[in-house]
Amino acid sequence: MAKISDGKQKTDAQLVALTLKNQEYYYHLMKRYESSLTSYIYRLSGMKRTDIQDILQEVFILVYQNLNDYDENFKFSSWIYRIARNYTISMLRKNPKYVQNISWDEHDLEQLIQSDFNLEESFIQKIGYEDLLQIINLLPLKYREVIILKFIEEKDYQEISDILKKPIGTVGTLINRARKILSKEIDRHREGEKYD
Amino acid sequence: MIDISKATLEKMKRENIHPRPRLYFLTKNLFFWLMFSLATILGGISFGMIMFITGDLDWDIYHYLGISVSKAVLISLPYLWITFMLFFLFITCYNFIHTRTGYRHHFIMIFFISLLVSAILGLVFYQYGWTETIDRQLRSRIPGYHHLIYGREKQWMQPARGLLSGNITVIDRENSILFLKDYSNKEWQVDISQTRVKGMFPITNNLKIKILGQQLSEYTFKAVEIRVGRGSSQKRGRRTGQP
Repeated sequence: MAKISDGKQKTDAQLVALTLKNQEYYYHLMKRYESSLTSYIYRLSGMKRTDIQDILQEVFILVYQNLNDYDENFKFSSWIYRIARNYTISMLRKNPKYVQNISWDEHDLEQLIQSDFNLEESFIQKIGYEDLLQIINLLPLKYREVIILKFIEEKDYQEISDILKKPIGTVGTLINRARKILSKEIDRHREGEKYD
Repeated sequence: MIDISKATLEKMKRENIHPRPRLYFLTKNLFFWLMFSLATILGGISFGMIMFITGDLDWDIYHYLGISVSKAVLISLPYLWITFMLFFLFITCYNFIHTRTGYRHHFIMIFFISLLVSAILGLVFYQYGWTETIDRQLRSRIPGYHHLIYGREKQWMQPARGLLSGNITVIDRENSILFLKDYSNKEWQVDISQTRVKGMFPITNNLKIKILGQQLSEYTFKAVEIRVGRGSSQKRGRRTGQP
């Protein structure tokens, strides 16, 4: 197997070109995305670790099989995230047993609060992380996934557009709607607590 | 903890997994572009056919029939070709969205641009008379096609509503009567004693004419106005064979 240090200085596109000549180089590409894709699939689906490992392995194989379809005009990260996203969602649809309650770690939630998502910290402190997470879990997938990509994965609009295969304008609309729905849900949650 | 990357690489080697060839993806992409082009052309033809069929109708006769403009439009729209056009537009949009960067554009924008392209192509087909040729071919080759289209033939074959058309077979000038064979080969006796003739043309045997008037009995008709069946001199120089 090629040494890991061989791949560290290479760009994604260079590693793709090298992988097409020598399969061993693919290890470096996978290693580069292993951790971020594991978190992404988890945030998206809430699957168990073992399920995520199975999914990730299939995603890596799919990416490898389709490597000749990769277009260097796009970011490789957007492309691999797109394949991971599509495969994860298709698995969720085929096997609803996978679906669990997502429990992001506090770091994710802090990142969300500190991002430009415009959730006031004081506002969140009143409802707490647990409740915020519960509210996020209740969001429809199309809103949850843009929140994950924009505020947790910190992807820009163009990358999100390429991952979701939606126009940039639609991505912007989804983010704004997600913001509104989340704020409304938080308000409702707080109102509910008042009456409890 | 499992090294997923390492395990995946081993699995790929074990199962002899390789990347699909570049040609596979090129062919796939080419297929979408081909389907896109084909659907655009067919959309253009459909648009041209809509222009031809609606442009071919006599829109001034509806007030004789006491029909409002909106009702006239509803009766006359070529729904078959409108359905084809919408279908091909959908195929065009679908194929464009499935090209490499097609998803970056809004569906509505793609739809309207495709509609515009179809309209331009349709206009070209119409102007060059290709839509007329297609219409003629469809009428002669596809049985029942003319029943599906509200064309000029159908428009002028409503004797109960005062519209009749066909070929003159005999002219009896003494009794101001002419005999006419309609498009279902039925012989009509037409009273032309109080008739005005629209346009400057002599009434002769075998002339294709359209008559506005009143049905008197099963095969007798009283003509109020006679028009010549639109001939080669009146529209784009190619039209033949129809009222």
